[in-house]
Amino acid sequence: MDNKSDAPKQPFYGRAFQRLINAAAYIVLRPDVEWEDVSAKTYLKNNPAIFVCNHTHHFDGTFAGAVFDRYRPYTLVMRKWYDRKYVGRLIRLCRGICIDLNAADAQWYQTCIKILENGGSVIIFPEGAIARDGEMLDFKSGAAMLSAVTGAAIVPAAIYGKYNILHGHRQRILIGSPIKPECPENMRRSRYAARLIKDTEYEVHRLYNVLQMKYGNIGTYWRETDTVPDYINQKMQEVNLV
Amino acid sequence: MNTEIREKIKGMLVENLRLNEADFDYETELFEELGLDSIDSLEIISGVDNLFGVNMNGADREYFQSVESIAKYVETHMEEQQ
Repeated sequence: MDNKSDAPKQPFYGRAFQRLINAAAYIVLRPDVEWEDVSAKTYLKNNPAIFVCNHTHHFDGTFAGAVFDRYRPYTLVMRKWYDRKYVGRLIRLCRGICIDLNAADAQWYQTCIKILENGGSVIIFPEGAIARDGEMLDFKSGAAMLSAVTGAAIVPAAIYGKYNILHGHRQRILIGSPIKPECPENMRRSRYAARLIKDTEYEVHRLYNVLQMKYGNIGTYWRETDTVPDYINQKMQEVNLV
Repeated sequence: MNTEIREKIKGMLVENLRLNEADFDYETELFEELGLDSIDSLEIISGVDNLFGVNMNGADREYFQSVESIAKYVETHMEEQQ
């Protein structure tokens, strides 16, 4: 693999800046982090991982970056943000990796493979955009493809809350058990990835619903339900029939 | 026609995408006939980069249609690099 897809190096002042941002995130957003499976912490100490979260707000990247900071993750960021003069510079300082959803772009993919093969971690919001329609969007399968190719586990997590700054409900995140890829020998990786991302989507929905049942409907999404939505159940059945 | 390049590309598709070698030739439409997904193009771009050092990022979709079209893209860009 050539240099252009090597994992971007974070300068020491970038790390210092990121620590400041993380500290600010903890003070301002007051993350409440819950692990459904505490043994996952041990697993993540020694293994690469792909953290997969739902996406409800521009703060999600900063929030997830602060929560998962001990694993030094890189975060996928859309090109429109990455190319901005000042914001883009800060994103690059904080281990952002650019992804262009409007072109045949595999540079992010090559970079992430390199990171995961070196034992690193990445944060991906597989909806590809903030959910503005009142419910979680469909997950795109890039994260699952990375998992299938590198063997890195997917760690699903549900972000819950409206980012009340310094008051009101804390921003919560519930982290699920790592999903280890087991692509059968005779199966196309992309087909397996399609199945794996549906499993992950289902899991993020489930984690989200656990938080919702525990803390009530606080309006993260407009159309919240108490159960996994029917369309997700239907998709799960479709995928399992492939 | 450079058969070596085409054979390398075909071998890469067999290995990286787990396609059955007997199911396709140089002209087979990869997406329409073999049912490849857009996510497969990530592996194609990575594979071509690893094999030939040719960057297909941003290439038009038409270049991903078959082994032949990928090979033409590779040949053109290898010549440019030289």
